[in-house]
Parts: sequence; C-alpha cells; structure tokens
Amino acid sequence: MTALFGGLLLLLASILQVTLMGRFTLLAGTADLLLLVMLTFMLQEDVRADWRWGIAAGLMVDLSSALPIWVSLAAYIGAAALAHLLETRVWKISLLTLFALTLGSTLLIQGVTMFYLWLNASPINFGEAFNLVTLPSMLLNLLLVLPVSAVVSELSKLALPSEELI
Amino acid sequence: MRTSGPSPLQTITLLLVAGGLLLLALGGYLNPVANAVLEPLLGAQGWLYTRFQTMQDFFSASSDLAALRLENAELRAENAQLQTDLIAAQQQANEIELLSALLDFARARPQDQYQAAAVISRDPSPFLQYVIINRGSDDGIRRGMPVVAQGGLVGRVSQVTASAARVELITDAAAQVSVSLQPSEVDGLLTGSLTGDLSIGLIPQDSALQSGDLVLTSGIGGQYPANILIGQVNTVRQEATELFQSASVQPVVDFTRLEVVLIIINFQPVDLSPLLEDGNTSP
Repeated sequence: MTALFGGLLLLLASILQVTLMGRFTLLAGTADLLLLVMLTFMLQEDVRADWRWGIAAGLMVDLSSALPIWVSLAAYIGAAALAHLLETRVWKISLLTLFALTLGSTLLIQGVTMFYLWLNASPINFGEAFNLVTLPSMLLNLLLVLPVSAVVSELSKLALPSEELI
Repeated sequence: MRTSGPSPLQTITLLLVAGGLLLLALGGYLNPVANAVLEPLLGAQGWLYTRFQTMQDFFSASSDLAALRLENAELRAENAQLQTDLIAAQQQANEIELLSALLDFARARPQDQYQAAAVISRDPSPFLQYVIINRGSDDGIRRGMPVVAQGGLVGRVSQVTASAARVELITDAAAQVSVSLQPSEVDGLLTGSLTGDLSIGLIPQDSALQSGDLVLTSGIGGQYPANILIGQVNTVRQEATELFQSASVQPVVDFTRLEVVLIIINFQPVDLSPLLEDGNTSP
C-alpha cells in the first residue's frame, strides 16, 4: 500500500513538474516538485526511506527529460540516499533538518546535471549556471518545501491510516 | 298609549341642518373638521396594518424562505454554468487566434508541408530548453525536422517515439543555428543560453550591423530550411579587441507560451557527419 501510494504521489508530482512548475521561474531556476515530494514522503514516519524511491523518481524524470537516464537516476538516488542517511542518523526530523536536506539534494541534483553538461562539452558558463539556475532553484525549493511537506503529510495520513491503527 | 311621530317643525329643522351641512361640505368648510377626525383614525389604521403585515410575514416566511433558497441555488448553478461556458468560449477564441496565426505562416510558405502538434510538457531540468509534442513517428515525424510557431523558428525534433517527439528549442544553451541578417546580408551563428536569451556570434567586424535587422535562417549547414524568421537584432556589441561582433536577438516566438507548433515534414536535414572527422555536424 505504501509503495502504491508513494508511486502515485511521485507520478502526480512528475506530471505537475513538467506541465506546471516549469512555467514558474525565478531567473532561470525552477522548483523541483518531484524532489520535494520524494524527500517529504520518505521522511514520513511510516515510510521506509531507501534508494528505491530515488530510482522511481529518477525513472519518472527520465520519461520527460532530455537528460540521459544515468544522470537522472544518479541524481535522485543520491538525493534519496541523503534522506536515508538523515533519517537513520537523526532522531527526529526538524524543520532545520528538512531545509538542510532540501538544500543538499538540490545542490546534488544540479551538480550532477552540470557535471553531465560539462562532460558533454555544452557551452555553459558554470558560474553563471550557479547564479542563474542553482541558487534560484534552491530558493524556490526552500520556499516550497514546507507547504509540500504539509500536503504530503496530510495525504499520507489519509491514505495510510491503517498502519498507525494496527 | 298613543305615540306621535316627529313634528313637522322637527323634520324641517333636521332637513335644514342636513342641507346646511351638505352645503358646508360642498363648499369645503368642513375639511379641517374632517381632517382632525380622520388623521388619528388613519394613523391607527396604518399602525395596525403594519403590525398585521409583520405577523403575516413572520408566519408565512418559512415557505417563502425555502422557495427563495431553492431559487438562489438554481441561480447559482446557472451562474456557474455560464461562467464555465464563458471560460470555454475564451479558450476557443484563443485557440482560433493561435491557429489563424499558424495558418498565416503556412500560407506564407506554401512550399513546405506541415504537421500541427500540441506542446504537452516541458523538460523538468532548468538547464535544458526542450518541449515534448504529441506527434511522433506514426504521424510522419522524423528526427531533425524543423519546428515553427507563430511565424518564427522554434527548434528541431531531437528524439521521436511512436506518438510523441522531443523538440530542442533554439533557446537551449547547446542549440546553434546558422542565420542571415537582413537587410545587411551578413551571416552569423545564433546560439541559445541558460536563461533562454538568444545571441548571434561570428559576425565579421567590418559588417554593418544595425539594431532592428531581421534574423532569418540561412540554410547553411543543411539543418534548417532557409529564410525562416527568428527575430530582430536587439543590441549590437562590437569590441575592437575581439575578432567578431555579437548581437542579442529578440525572438518573434514567445517561448514561455508555446502551445501549438508546426513541424515541417518535407524537410530532411543534411547529415554532414561522414564529411567531418570528429563526427560533429555543423549547424
């Protein structure tokens, strides 16, 4: 049930990301709704945070992105690993932890993408990319992580109540 | 016991009094007296009528209120339906406007054959400027076909599946298009950027370039057909220490609002890779 609900949640976030979120930009940066949903869902009490969520999110990005599959998989598995690390090392997830995880994951995903573009000899100025894409994307993700976390938490309570009751 | 009726004197007196009163009333002399009598009477009447009406409203309100609520609900539903119809009509009007613009473009280039497609999603990575359209190889779409919209160049098909295709926009940082400037007749290389801005490089220093010059595809490199409008030169940057001039370009296509595009299906890009040692195709 958790896997099914998580999959549906990621699919919905993926659809919203490619149809809606790309229209709201800050400089050249956009919020990564799929990443935020994945992280906040993994940090729910009843959900085991492991790399499988990263694979699911990476595959969903690959469906709609021109990036090669290894880039999206590596980026989202890395983000899932960060969440897993945090969940196993930190007793209770606080707001500060959530913000730190969002920052780290955004930086990781954008770093992997920039590394691919560098390998591909894409004519990109990396300083400009950091200023115009990475920093605004981080800010947007930080602004969105709290409402996304609240929505995901409420939806999880609605969809997965039985495990608490049992 | 004998009772007697009114005497004739009494009858005459009464008739005289009645006739006098009638004459006084007809002459309007009795109006103040009538007003003085009627005014409190009318006041009392009004007070009583108002109270009675209030009580009647109070007792009959329950049925009226229910009817009003029902009518209100019906009106609200009708209003919501009308608003939905209005939005649908506005959307249809926008689509018609968009399709008219595309039709005008197709008429302006009768030598090309087009396939219309709707943009269904954008690349989730902010580093890449790609869109996905709802036409694929089943509709005759092939890799490399040019894509246009609203009278200008949009990009080219980079990947195709049976029912969808990915289009690399000319605003992508890796996109390059050989262009020709009119009326100065200068060739250059148009490139995109991370922010989606377009610029032209490789323009010789001695070329007379002006703001407002039209930017069209030159057809050099065989990747795009010639003479497709891209935009206008916005600002020219000329440094004495550099080999070439550069210019920023204002595109005619609004890339943030791409909804419907046309794919030129009778154009096949030239594959230059066998002619190049490193396998890179020139734009």
